[in-house]
Amino acid sequence: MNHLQTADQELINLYIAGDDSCLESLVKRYKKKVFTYIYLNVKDRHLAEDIFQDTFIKVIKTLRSGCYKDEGKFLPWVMRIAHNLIIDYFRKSKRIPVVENNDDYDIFNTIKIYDDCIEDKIITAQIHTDVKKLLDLLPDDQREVIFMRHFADMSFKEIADQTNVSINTALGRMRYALINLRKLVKEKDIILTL
Amino acid sequence: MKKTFTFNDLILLAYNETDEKSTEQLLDALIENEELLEMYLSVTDMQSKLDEITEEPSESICNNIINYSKALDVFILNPDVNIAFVVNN
Repeated sequence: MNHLQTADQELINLYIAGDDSCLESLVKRYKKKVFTYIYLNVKDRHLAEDIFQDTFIKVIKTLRSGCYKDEGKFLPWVMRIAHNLIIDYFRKSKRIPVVENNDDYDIFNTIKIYDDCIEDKIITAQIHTDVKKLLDLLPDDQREVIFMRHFADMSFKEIADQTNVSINTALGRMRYALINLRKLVKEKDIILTL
Repeated sequence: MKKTFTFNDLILLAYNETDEKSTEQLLDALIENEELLEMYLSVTDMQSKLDEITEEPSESICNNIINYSKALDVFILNPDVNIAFVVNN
Protein backbone atom coordinates (compact mmCIF):
# COMPACT_ATOMS: atom_id res chain seq x y z
CA MET A 1 0.00 0.00 0.00
CA ASN A 2 1.29 3.44 -0.86
CA HIS A 3 1.42 5.59 2.27
CA LEU A 4 3.24 8.57 0.80
CA GLN A 5 0.39 10.97 1.49
CA THR A 6 -0.76 9.39 4.73
CA ALA A 7 -0.28 11.47 7.86
CA ASP A 8 1.99 10.17 10.61
CA GLN A 9 -0.89 9.80 13.05
CA GLU A 10 -2.92 7.73 10.64
CA LEU A 11 0.05 5.45 10.00
CA ILE A 12 0.58 5.09 13.75
CA ASN A 13 -3.07 4.21 14.33
CA LEU A 14 -3.03 1.64 11.54
CA TYR A 15 0.22 0.20 12.84
CA ILE A 16 -1.15 -0.13 16.36
CA ALA A 17 -4.15 -1.87 14.81
CA GLY A 18 -1.76 -4.43 13.31
CA ASP A 19 -0.73 -3.14 9.88
CA ASP A 20 3.07 -3.66 9.79
CA SER A 21 3.43 -1.94 6.43
CA CYS A 22 2.70 1.34 8.22
CA LEU A 23 5.79 0.98 10.35
CA GLU A 24 7.79 0.36 7.19
CA SER A 25 6.42 3.60 5.77
CA LEU A 26 7.35 5.53 8.91
CA VAL A 27 10.87 4.08 8.86
CA LYS A 28 11.23 4.95 5.18
CA ARG A 29 9.90 8.45 5.76
CA TYR A 30 12.28 9.36 8.56
CA LYS A 31 15.28 7.05 8.28
CA LYS A 32 17.55 9.64 6.68
CA LYS A 33 16.77 12.35 9.21
CA VAL A 34 17.09 10.09 12.22
CA PHE A 35 20.20 8.33 10.97
CA THR A 36 21.98 11.52 9.89
CA TYR A 37 21.42 13.00 13.34
CA ILE A 38 22.78 9.91 15.08
CA TYR A 39 25.72 9.61 12.68
CA LEU A 40 26.73 13.24 13.04
CA ASN A 41 26.87 12.75 16.78
CA VAL A 42 28.64 9.41 17.10
CA LYS A 43 30.77 9.58 13.94
CA ASP A 44 30.81 5.82 13.49
CA ARG A 45 28.60 3.99 11.01
CA HIS A 46 28.24 0.70 12.88
CA LEU A 47 27.52 2.41 16.17
CA ALA A 48 25.08 4.75 14.44
CA GLU A 49 23.26 1.76 12.95
CA ASP A 50 23.05 0.10 16.38
CA ILE A 51 21.58 3.25 17.91
CA PHE A 52 19.25 3.73 14.94
CA GLN A 53 17.98 0.18 15.38
CA ASP A 54 17.56 0.58 19.14
CA THR A 55 15.69 3.82 18.57
CA PHE A 56 13.09 2.16 16.37
CA ILE A 57 12.82 -0.86 18.65
CA LYS A 58 11.88 1.54 21.44
CA VAL A 59 9.42 3.19 19.08
CA ILE A 60 7.85 -0.19 18.23
CA LYS A 61 7.64 -1.26 21.88
CA THR A 62 6.05 2.00 22.93
CA LEU A 63 3.54 1.99 20.08
CA ARG A 64 2.65 -1.66 20.60
CA SER A 65 2.25 -1.21 24.36
CA GLY A 66 -0.24 1.57 23.76
CA CYS A 67 1.85 4.06 25.75
CA TYR A 68 2.36 6.50 22.89
CA LYS A 69 0.50 9.75 23.30
CA ASP A 70 0.36 11.55 20.03
CA GLU A 71 0.64 15.28 20.09
CA GLY A 72 1.25 15.54 16.37
CA LYS A 73 4.98 15.28 16.93
CA PHE A 74 6.07 11.83 15.91
CA LEU A 75 9.47 12.82 14.48
CA PRO A 76 10.54 15.00 17.45
CA TRP A 77 9.54 12.13 19.72
CA VAL A 78 11.67 9.66 17.73
CA MET A 79 14.54 12.17 17.72
CA ARG A 80 14.29 12.50 21.49
CA ILE A 81 14.60 8.74 21.85
CA ALA A 82 17.64 8.76 19.54
CA HIS A 83 19.15 11.70 21.43
CA ASN A 84 18.73 9.94 24.77
CA LEU A 85 20.27 6.74 23.42
CA ILE A 86 23.26 8.73 22.15
CA ILE A 87 23.67 10.32 25.59
CA ASP A 88 23.35 6.86 27.20
CA TYR A 89 26.06 5.52 24.93
CA PHE A 90 28.50 8.31 25.79
CA ARG A 91 27.71 7.95 29.49
CA LYS A 92 28.32 4.21 29.42
CA SER A 93 31.46 4.43 27.36
CA LYS A 94 32.60 7.43 29.42
CA ARG A 95 33.97 9.12 26.39
CA ILE A 96 33.11 12.12 24.34
CA PRO A 97 33.01 11.99 20.55
CA VAL A 98 36.39 12.44 18.96
CA VAL A 99 36.58 14.15 15.62
CA GLU A 100 38.74 12.16 13.28
CA ASN A 101 39.74 13.98 10.17
CA ASN A 102 40.87 10.95 8.27
CA ASP A 103 39.65 9.12 5.23
CA ASP A 104 37.81 6.51 7.30
CA TYR A 105 35.37 9.03 8.65
CA ASP A 106 33.44 10.85 6.03
CA ILE A 107 29.73 11.17 6.53
CA PHE A 108 29.37 12.23 2.92
CA ASN A 109 30.70 9.04 1.44
CA THR A 110 27.26 7.81 0.47
CA ILE A 111 25.63 11.06 -0.45
CA LYS A 112 23.68 10.64 -3.63
CA ILE A 113 24.55 13.21 -6.19
CA TYR A 114 22.22 13.53 -9.09
CA ASP A 115 23.99 16.12 -11.20
CA ASP A 116 24.90 14.90 -14.63
CA CYS A 117 28.14 16.79 -14.87
CA ILE A 118 31.11 15.03 -13.30
CA GLU A 119 32.75 18.35 -12.47
CA ASP A 120 29.63 19.40 -10.55
CA LYS A 121 29.70 16.10 -8.72
CA ILE A 122 33.25 16.66 -7.59
CA ILE A 123 32.56 20.22 -6.50
CA THR A 124 29.37 19.20 -4.67
CA ALA A 125 31.19 16.42 -2.84
CA GLN A 126 33.94 18.86 -1.91
CA ILE A 127 31.40 21.33 -0.52
CA HIS A 128 29.77 18.63 1.58
CA THR A 129 33.10 17.55 2.99
CA ASP A 130 34.10 21.12 3.70
CA VAL A 131 30.83 22.05 5.41
CA LYS A 132 31.08 18.89 7.53
CA LYS A 133 34.60 19.83 8.56
CA LEU A 134 33.47 23.34 9.39
CA LEU A 135 30.77 21.94 11.67
CA ASP A 136 33.50 20.14 13.58
CA LEU A 137 35.32 23.45 14.09
CA LEU A 138 32.39 25.01 15.94
CA PRO A 139 32.39 25.16 19.75
CA ASP A 140 30.50 22.21 21.27
CA ASP A 141 27.46 24.21 22.39
CA GLN A 142 27.05 25.79 18.96
CA ARG A 143 27.47 22.50 17.11
CA GLU A 144 24.99 20.88 19.49
CA VAL A 145 22.28 23.42 18.79
CA ILE A 146 22.80 23.04 15.03
CA PHE A 147 22.46 19.26 15.36
CA MET A 148 19.36 19.55 17.53
CA ARG A 149 17.57 22.26 15.58
CA HIS A 150 18.60 21.49 12.03
CA PHE A 151 19.06 17.74 12.00
CA ALA A 152 16.82 16.61 14.87
CA ASP A 153 13.99 19.05 14.11
CA MET A 154 13.70 20.03 17.76
CA SER A 155 12.15 23.42 18.44
CA PHE A 156 14.22 26.04 20.27
CA LYS A 157 11.92 25.52 23.25
CA GLU A 158 12.69 21.79 23.24
CA ILE A 159 16.42 22.48 22.85
CA ALA A 160 16.27 24.92 25.75
CA ASP A 161 14.54 22.30 27.93
CA GLN A 162 16.92 19.56 26.91
CA THR A 163 20.08 21.59 27.49
CA ASN A 164 18.86 23.48 30.57
CA VAL A 165 19.25 26.94 29.08
CA SER A 166 16.80 29.67 28.17
CA ILE A 167 15.30 29.90 24.70
CA ASN A 168 17.28 33.08 24.15
CA THR A 169 20.51 31.29 24.98
CA ALA A 170 19.65 28.46 22.58
CA LEU A 171 18.81 31.02 19.90
CA GLY A 172 22.01 32.94 20.64
CA ARG A 173 24.06 29.77 20.20
CA MET A 174 22.35 29.12 16.88
CA ARG A 175 23.02 32.71 15.81
CA TYR A 176 26.72 32.42 16.63
CA ALA A 177 26.89 28.99 15.01
CA LEU A 178 25.49 30.35 11.74
CA ILE A 179 27.64 33.47 11.87
CA ASN A 180 30.74 31.41 12.63
CA LEU A 181 29.98 28.95 9.86
CA ARG A 182 29.77 31.79 7.37
CA LYS A 183 32.99 33.31 8.72
CA LEU A 184 34.72 29.96 8.40
CA VAL A 185 33.43 29.60 4.87
CA LYS A 186 34.98 32.95 4.00
CA GLU A 187 38.23 32.17 5.79
CA LYS A 188 38.57 28.81 4.10
CA ASP A 189 37.52 30.40 0.87
CA ILE A 190 34.87 27.77 0.26
CA ILE A 191 32.46 28.51 -2.50
CA LEU A 192 29.06 27.40 -1.35
CA THR A 193 27.26 27.75 -4.62
CA LEU A 194 27.60 25.77 -7.81
CA MET B 1 5.72 52.53 14.87
CA LYS B 2 7.70 49.96 12.94
CA LYS B 3 8.91 46.92 14.79
CA THR B 4 12.64 46.20 14.82
CA PHE B 5 13.68 42.65 14.07
CA THR B 6 16.78 40.82 15.17
CA PHE B 7 18.87 38.01 13.74
CA ASN B 8 17.11 35.70 16.21
CA ASP B 9 13.76 36.60 14.65
CA LEU B 10 15.14 35.67 11.24
CA ILE B 11 16.35 32.32 12.56
CA LEU B 12 12.90 31.63 14.00
CA LEU B 13 11.33 32.57 10.66
CA ALA B 14 13.73 30.35 8.72
CA TYR B 15 12.87 27.43 10.99
CA ASN B 16 9.10 28.07 10.88
CA GLU B 17 8.86 28.95 14.54
CA THR B 18 7.13 32.29 14.20
CA ASP B 19 3.41 32.74 14.69
CA GLU B 20 1.21 33.94 11.86
CA LYS B 21 1.32 37.61 12.84
CA SER B 22 5.09 37.72 13.30
CA THR B 23 5.61 35.86 10.04
CA GLU B 24 3.56 38.44 8.20
CA GLN B 25 5.40 41.34 9.85
CA LEU B 26 8.77 39.77 9.14
CA LEU B 27 7.96 39.12 5.48
CA ASP B 28 6.84 42.74 5.10
CA ALA B 29 10.06 43.91 6.72
CA LEU B 30 12.15 41.73 4.40
CA ILE B 31 10.59 43.41 1.39
CA GLU B 32 11.34 46.87 2.74
CA ASN B 33 14.74 46.32 4.33
CA GLU B 34 17.54 45.11 2.08
CA GLU B 35 19.97 44.60 4.95
CA LEU B 36 17.47 42.42 6.78
CA LEU B 37 16.86 40.46 3.58
CA GLU B 38 20.61 39.87 3.18
CA MET B 39 20.76 38.55 6.73
CA TYR B 40 17.80 36.29 6.13
CA LEU B 41 19.29 34.93 2.93
CA SER B 42 22.53 34.18 4.77
CA VAL B 43 20.53 32.01 7.18
CA THR B 44 18.61 30.18 4.45
CA ASP B 45 21.77 29.74 2.39
CA MET B 46 23.47 27.98 5.28
CA GLN B 47 20.28 26.00 5.92
CA SER B 48 20.29 24.65 2.38
CA LYS B 49 23.93 23.64 2.69
CA LEU B 50 23.21 21.84 5.95
CA ASP B 51 20.23 20.15 4.28
CA GLU B 52 22.62 18.52 1.86
CA ILE B 53 24.31 16.67 4.69
CA THR B 54 22.45 13.41 4.63
CA GLU B 55 23.18 9.80 5.46
CA GLU B 56 21.20 6.61 5.19
CA PRO B 57 21.23 3.44 7.28
CA SER B 58 21.86 0.17 5.49
CA GLU B 59 18.94 -1.76 4.07
CA SER B 60 19.65 -4.66 6.43
CA ILE B 61 19.19 -2.48 9.51
CA CYS B 62 15.82 -1.25 8.25
CA ASN B 63 14.83 -4.86 7.52
CA ASN B 64 15.88 -5.87 11.05
CA ILE B 65 13.48 -3.28 12.44
CA ILE B 66 10.58 -4.38 10.24
CA ASN B 67 11.28 -8.04 11.05
CA TYR B 68 11.41 -7.28 14.76
CA SER B 69 8.00 -5.70 14.51
CA LYS B 70 6.59 -8.71 12.65
CA ALA B 71 8.17 -11.09 15.17
CA LEU B 72 6.60 -9.10 17.96
CA ASP B 73 3.19 -9.67 16.38
CA VAL B 74 3.82 -13.40 16.41
CA PHE B 75 4.95 -13.18 20.01
CA ILE B 76 1.85 -11.26 21.05
CA LEU B 77 -0.38 -13.89 19.40
CA ASN B 78 1.72 -16.81 20.72
CA PRO B 79 3.39 -15.74 23.97
CA ASP B 80 5.08 -19.13 24.36
CA VAL B 81 7.16 -18.68 21.20
CA ASN B 82 10.83 -17.94 21.89
CA ILE B 83 12.09 -15.03 19.77
CA ALA B 84 15.77 -14.19 19.53
CA PHE B 85 16.48 -10.86 17.89
CA VAL B 86 19.79 -10.64 16.08
CA VAL B 87 21.21 -7.15 16.40
CA ASN B 88 22.90 -5.35 13.53
CA ASN B 89 23.30 -8.20 11.06
